[in-house]
Parts: sequence; structure tokens; C-alpha cells
Amino acid sequence: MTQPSDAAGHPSVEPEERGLVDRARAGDREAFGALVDRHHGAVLGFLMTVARDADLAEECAQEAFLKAFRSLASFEGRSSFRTWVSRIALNEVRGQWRWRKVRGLLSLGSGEDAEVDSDALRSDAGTADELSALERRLELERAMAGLGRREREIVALRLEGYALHEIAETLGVTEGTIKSTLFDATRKMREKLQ
Amino acid sequence: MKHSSERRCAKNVEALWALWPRAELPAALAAELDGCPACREEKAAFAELCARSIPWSAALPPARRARAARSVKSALAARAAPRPAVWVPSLVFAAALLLVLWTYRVPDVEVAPWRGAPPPRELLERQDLLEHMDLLQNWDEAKSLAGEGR
Repeated sequence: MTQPSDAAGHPSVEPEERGLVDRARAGDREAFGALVDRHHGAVLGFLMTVARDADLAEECAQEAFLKAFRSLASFEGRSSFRTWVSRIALNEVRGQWRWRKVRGLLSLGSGEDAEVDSDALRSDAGTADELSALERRLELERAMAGLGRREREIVALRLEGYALHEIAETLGVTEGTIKSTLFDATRKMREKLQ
Repeated sequence: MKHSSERRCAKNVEALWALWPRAELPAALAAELDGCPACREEKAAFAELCARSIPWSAALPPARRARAARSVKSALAARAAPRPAVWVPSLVFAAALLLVLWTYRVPDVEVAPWRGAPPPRELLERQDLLEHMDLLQNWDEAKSLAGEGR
């Protein structure tokens, strides 16, 4: 049996993951739990960078996984499971922003220009190492302040270890666009860090 | 000559930044970058940014990360399932209905043809007919026996 692959021939879903997806599709929650364990960290991290709001990121990540579980029948395996969930998660964040704009809940805007609540995160850090890692990430966050929405999305996915073709599938852009955007975005970040 | 070298440098630098934030470079690319002072500078800047590029999945305090993952799983158990408020009472009602139907089911036995109306009195008074109770199941035969005076 041939494995599904994307248009560029990248293997989309590795066999072990495909087994988990098949079991989850049959209603096996433990298998879906294993998929959550595998990908929740990356999806949450990606959303944290995009949303700059830990609570919103957690809420959207949760909703994305729930939607993914309910829609597993429509997952064809042409992209990786992580890419698929990330796309759902990104739509979730964008939907939340739109909803907030409509409701006018935030006097400062939709939340697209929010800043990470660093104090809340610091209070969760249990050790000096955890705090040090957090501070380093917050410093990078400040360097990312001038990035546009698309740049931020690409940088967010790349930081979480997504391959160029996965980013292309998640955002619906070409790999060439991603490379040139990364070039510009990293230049801006370097300038801010100097 | 210089023009083609600039083009190669630009291509190498673009390839370099496309790898961000993975600090490990393919050996061939690293060697090419090392061959030009400007590219070497880019390589150093790249290494510095990679060292500072830490993902949220590694920076988020583990307690918070674990709490968020747990919350996904418990939400999955609570919300992705059919709501108990609907299917549990339905199941109980269906079981009760089946029990009632089974208890009061119509017995699956052949009904005797004389059931429902009492046999005529004159037939019951005939002792000889009572000796042949099995024949009472067939009225026509019983009547003919009575007619024959047997």
C-alpha cells in the first residue's frame, strides 16, 4: 500500500501516526490522547506566538483538538495531522479575533496587537532553569514586536520546528514566499536584538 | 566574475536563513559561506539568532504546558461524547419498555377451538362424552357423536 503524500511528494503521515489516526477515527480516545500528547505542545506554542495571549492560545488549541476529533472522518491524510490541526487552530484564533472585534470586548482592539502576560507565565515557572528559558523566550518575543501578521505566523510555525512544506500547507502559501518572508523577518528580529 | 560570485553569495545567504532556527548547516553550505568574509558574518549572525530562538513549546513552564494538555483531554472526554443527559435516560426507557413487553407478551401457544365460549350444557351432561374429552376439541365431531346417541 502506498503512503499518501502531498503534491511535492513529501510523506504526509508517518505509519505510526496513521495507525493512531485510524484508531482515533474509530472512536478510540486513547489513540487520540496520544496524538494530543505528540502535537499539543507545538500547536500551543505556535498559537502563543501568533496570539500573544496564553489564555487565548490554550482555549484555541483545545477547541482545535476537539474539532479535529469530531472531524477526523474528513481527514484524508494528504497533509500531516499536525499541519491539519494547526490549520484548524489558526482559523480558531482568527475567528476569536473577529468575534472580539464584533463584540467590541477589547477597548484596545481585537487582541491581534496584544502582549504576552509575562507575569502570569513567570508565576508558573517552578525552577530557575524554567524561569531562565521563559525570559529568553520573552526577549525573543520583544524582538518580534515589529513583525506583520503573516511574518509572525511563518516565524511561529518555524520556531516550533515545522518544515517549510508543512508551513506552506498550513498557511496556503508557496515555499518561496516562506523563504523570502523568513529572510525579512529574521533581519527585523536581528536588528531589534542588537 | 564578481557578479556571479555575488549571485552565489546571495543564494547561499538565502539558503542559510531558510534553515533558521536550525543551527546545524549542511557541510557544503557551511564551507561555501566560510569562503567569503561577508558570508562568514552572515553565518555568525545566523548562529547567534538560532541560539536565542527558543520555541514556546520549550519555554512555557512545564506545569502550565501539562495543565493545558490535561484540559484538552478532559474536555475531549466531556464534550466530544454524546451528551449523557440525552442517551442515558433513552437507554433506560428502552430497557424498561422491552422488559414490560416481554413480561406481558402474548403466549405463543395454540388456542383450543372451544376457548372463549362455554360448551353446550347437554354435552357436559353426557357422561359418555366426558370420557372422550379429547373429542371436545372438535365441535362438529362432538355434535355428530351426540346426534348418534353414543
